[in-house]
Amino acid sequence: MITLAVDTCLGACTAVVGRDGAVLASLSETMMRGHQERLAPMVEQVMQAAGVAFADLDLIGATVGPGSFTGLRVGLAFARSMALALDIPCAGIGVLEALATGREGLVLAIIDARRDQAYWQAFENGSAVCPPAASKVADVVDFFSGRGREIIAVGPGAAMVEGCLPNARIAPVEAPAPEALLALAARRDPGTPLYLRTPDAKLPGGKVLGE
Amino acid sequence: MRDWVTASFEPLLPMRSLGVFENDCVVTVGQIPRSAMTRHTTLTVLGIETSCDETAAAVLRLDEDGRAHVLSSIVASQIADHAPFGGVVPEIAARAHVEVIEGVIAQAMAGAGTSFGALSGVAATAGPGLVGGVMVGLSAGKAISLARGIPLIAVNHLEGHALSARLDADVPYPFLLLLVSGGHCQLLSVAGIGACTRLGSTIDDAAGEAFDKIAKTLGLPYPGGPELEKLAVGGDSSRYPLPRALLGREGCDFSFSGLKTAAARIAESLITVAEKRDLAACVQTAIARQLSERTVHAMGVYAAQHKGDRRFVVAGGVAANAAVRAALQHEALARGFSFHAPSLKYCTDNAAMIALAGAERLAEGLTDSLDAPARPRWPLDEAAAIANPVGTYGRKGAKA
Repeated sequence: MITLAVDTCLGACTAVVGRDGAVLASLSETMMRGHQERLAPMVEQVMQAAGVAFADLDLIGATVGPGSFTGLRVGLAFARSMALALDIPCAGIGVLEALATGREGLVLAIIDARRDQAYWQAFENGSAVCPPAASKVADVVDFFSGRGREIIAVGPGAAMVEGCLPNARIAPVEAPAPEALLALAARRDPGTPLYLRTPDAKLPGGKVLGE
Repeated sequence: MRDWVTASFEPLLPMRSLGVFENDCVVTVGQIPRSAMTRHTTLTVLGIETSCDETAAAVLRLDEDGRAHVLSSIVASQIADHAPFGGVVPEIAARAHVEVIEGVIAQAMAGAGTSFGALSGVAATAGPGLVGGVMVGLSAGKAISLARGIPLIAVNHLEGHALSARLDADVPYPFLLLLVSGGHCQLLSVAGIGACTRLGSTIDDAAGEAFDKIAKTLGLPYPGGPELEKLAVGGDSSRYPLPRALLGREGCDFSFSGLKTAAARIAESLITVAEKRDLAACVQTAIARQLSERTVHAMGVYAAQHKGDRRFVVAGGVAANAAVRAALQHEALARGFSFHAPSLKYCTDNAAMIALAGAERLAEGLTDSLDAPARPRWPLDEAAAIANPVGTYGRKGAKA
């Protein structure tokens, strides 16, 4: 099975082509913005490098967040539309799970969500032990207090818990690895955006949506 | 869930064998097949529009003789999502676009009875507009272009409106255009695709914005323009005096902010429905009057430059207003211009106009590369917007 997976949610733009989970070609560029401009040319390049025609793809995966709202929409709109044009399925890839993929033990996947918050989720040997959340770092610390074992904090927000979680080993990777994207795409989860935050808009009278 | 979503998106038309894209040459995007560069071929183009609060897709065929046939046109409106806020919320718009884009495209393809393999190109709005939404449609367009090896055309939303009268009528170039919507208000001399010269523009608000905001102060639901038109029926359009901006002033620019403020102030003191109906009628008349007064100036300028047949086109959401149409039609005919306006469904945002602009560009060999940016600001006549900035020229440059 040949899979194309893309990630545009965090501080990199990544495209990877794989066969049965093995990377045929991958390309990743560090960027905070500009994913929209770079994604399509990078996909074209990585497909050429892999020697795969678009007509030969069986599956497309895209990260669904949490992360940059604009970034996740670019990747999802791209992947869903390409899947439609090729009549193949599109799979959603959770960014936090992708960050934790391939790491044993107790893992904290964490992204700086600004406004003194983090997007985070805990995993044990690859399985989620809590749902993804947007909350203050203090809540993350609370969750792990009492769990005496070593914790691996992975992701672009890993430094946020440095010093707060004494038993944490900090692994500040900026984006998920290509292998992780391929592995999670194969699960064929639905490609539904994971924002973890409502839009900032205020209703007349100062109320917020959902209140 | 919106009612159109319940329609099935399943079996997309069977694709022609995906081996290699049989027939027609495999093209590198950014270049186009030779056959597409001449007018001696029929082009089938998918259009995608996501620059404001409508997610739209359409398939259009442009025949050898330049005539357009809309094979399908799907518009998923987000009005219900934005109504509680009284206006378009960019983040809510962007979220709604990504939610429905794929289904809207699938519906347009199925409705046209076309397969992706039969497309000559894909056209997506690249600006100006709410950039979060633009990126959704543009990314979708790029993905289809890449997947099927067909050219991408990054379309200026305003060029789509400019061409919209050509969707269902034979309106040859050149023509004088009044583009008037919730976001834009300008007069352009249109010589052809990519050849627009701006004669005038609003120095503050767009006419549609004035309609919507005054409607809001009258307590009408969003979007207020059409609601205000309904309310105005039977109203006394002479009851409240409203300012006549730029009256008798040279040039073809517009101004609606004074009218908006004055009408809002009057609206605050109104109690009865009859009073509100009269104010709605006054506002509508005042907007129609300014649009036609300024357009008459532009007709003078245009007539001095163009001998022979003179055509006048009004396009954009406000062109759906009957009073505005009537006032403009009256002035056009009185000055020897033929009058053209797209049918109502092509006045408001739609993807058929984007597909048409894309097809006409493709026929001229004008295509875009896969790194085409989404542009929040993108004037049709960029040279004029830079040389002679009016109104909407902000810190980051001219909006439109």
